[in-house]
Amino acid sequence: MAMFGVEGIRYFSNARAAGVSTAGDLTYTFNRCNGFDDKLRSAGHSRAFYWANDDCWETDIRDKDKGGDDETWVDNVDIFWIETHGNHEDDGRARMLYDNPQQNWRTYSDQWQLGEDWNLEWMMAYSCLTVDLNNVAGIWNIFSGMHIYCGAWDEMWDGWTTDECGEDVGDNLIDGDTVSDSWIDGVSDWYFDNHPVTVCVGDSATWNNGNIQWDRSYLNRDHLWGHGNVDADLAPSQQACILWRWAEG
Amino acid sequence: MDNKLFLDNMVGTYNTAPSHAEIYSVRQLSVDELNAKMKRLLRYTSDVCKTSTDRADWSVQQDRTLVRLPKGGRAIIHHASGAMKITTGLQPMELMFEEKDYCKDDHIKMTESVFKKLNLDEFTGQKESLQFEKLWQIKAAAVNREQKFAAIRLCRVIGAFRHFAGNLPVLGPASVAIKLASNGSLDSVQTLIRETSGEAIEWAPIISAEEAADKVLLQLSSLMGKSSVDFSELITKQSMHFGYISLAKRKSQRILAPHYVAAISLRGKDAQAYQFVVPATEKLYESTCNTGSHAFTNQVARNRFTAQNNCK
Repeated sequence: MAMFGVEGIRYFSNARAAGVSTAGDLTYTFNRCNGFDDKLRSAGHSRAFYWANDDCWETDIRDKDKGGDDETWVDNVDIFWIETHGNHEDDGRARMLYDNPQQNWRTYSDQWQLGEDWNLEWMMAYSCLTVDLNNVAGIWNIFSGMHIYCGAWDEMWDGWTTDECGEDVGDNLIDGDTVSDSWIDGVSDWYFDNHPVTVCVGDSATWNNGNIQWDRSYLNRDHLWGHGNVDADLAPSQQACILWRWAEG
Repeated sequence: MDNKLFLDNMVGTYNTAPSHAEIYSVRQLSVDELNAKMKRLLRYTSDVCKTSTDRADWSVQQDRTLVRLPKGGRAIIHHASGAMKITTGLQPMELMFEEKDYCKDDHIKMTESVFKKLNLDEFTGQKESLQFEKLWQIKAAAVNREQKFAAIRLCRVIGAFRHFAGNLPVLGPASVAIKLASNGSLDSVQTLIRETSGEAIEWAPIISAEEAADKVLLQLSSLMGKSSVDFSELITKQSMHFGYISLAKRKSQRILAPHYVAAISLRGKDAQAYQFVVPATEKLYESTCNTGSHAFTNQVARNRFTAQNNCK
């Protein structure tokens, strides 16, 4: 079975007061976080941590080599769910906001090397715009053994039609859907334009000179531990391509 | 942008609201009745997929019924709302569309055709209908180390349909979503239709769009808090719609009452996108829970001592 971690930030008053962001508070952060947590625990998976608001720190995801503590937190579980405000830089790096500068107000994806200790397989970020659809390779560096990054290529809505997204993703995972389908189906209400995207890396046989063997990709094959197949990790030296799958309306 | 401009912009985007609207009670179905509905939808699905679903494993769980189907398919009924979902067991990258088949108009027709074959109109009540609303697509792409891109592939198309009670839409998650693979192969169908009990129980006066926009502004202001920048300068998109609302699938609902629904996007260094719901009647018929939950965690708060240790 899987070990999982959850971090959710609903209030951003400290960040606003410090002048580092104009971001507003959210409303349904913990409906989604609790829903994901509840569904996974109901199926026998183990929660390693659940940090809320200013107990969420950027060092939790920052790589140890870069002064962070990921090997204790994010890179020490199989699947990690985070909700906060997000965006990306011009060079494609994802960034996310915290409400407590431990040690920084924001995390940037060039500071992540996930799966490096061969632990984290899947990361799910309910945050706007952490993937630049015109430069998905901008987050390639985060795949140090991690299989799939689930994020958004534009807005993710906070509202009454998306308050059950955590439960929906959790249900999909434990009912046996692939991780990619669990995310895209689970966060889509097919009404408001959520913009889910799932990103993974593939080997040279998957790239196949540009004639992609999609059936070989994590997007097609990976399930949550205990609910179907999980492919082997792919070390950076074996990674020949980056693949992504997204919904648009 | 000042508040007046915000309100003018908001009111300018809404679809016309009537002076009065019907209030409906929502039909409440027992688990047995819901199971019977699912059996009917499974029968139609079997016809569309040309596979039998007779051999199915039904299990009633805490708040839903789960049906395991042949070939990795499954069906789910959410007891609180009667929402149903059937998946046929296709893998995400199986049966992708060929490039010659990338035509949106054809895909809309394809979803409408399957909609008819599934007899989904049978799942609404009197004076109700389902209408096509929007086509969604799931695509895939790849790039290698040398920045060589592979051709974008179309994996799935999704036809979203909207439930109408009388002349008003029931806003919320898609009332019906039909997901298709190439050649119109059914990947999944899901429904969230709050069937009314028929006759209106009340005829309620509707508040003005200006008044509703004022309430939206109040909700937005409370979220934005104090900041160095006026949030109205950060708004990039705003819209407002009018109709009944359907809560999400795990929530029961007894009444269909009209509401204004607003969507507002803001950009600063951090992007934000909010939905707001405002009752369109003076009398409150249905709670929409605008407060959200607290974190369900008993983890002890972290302190700076721990932080210093962690960050050595």
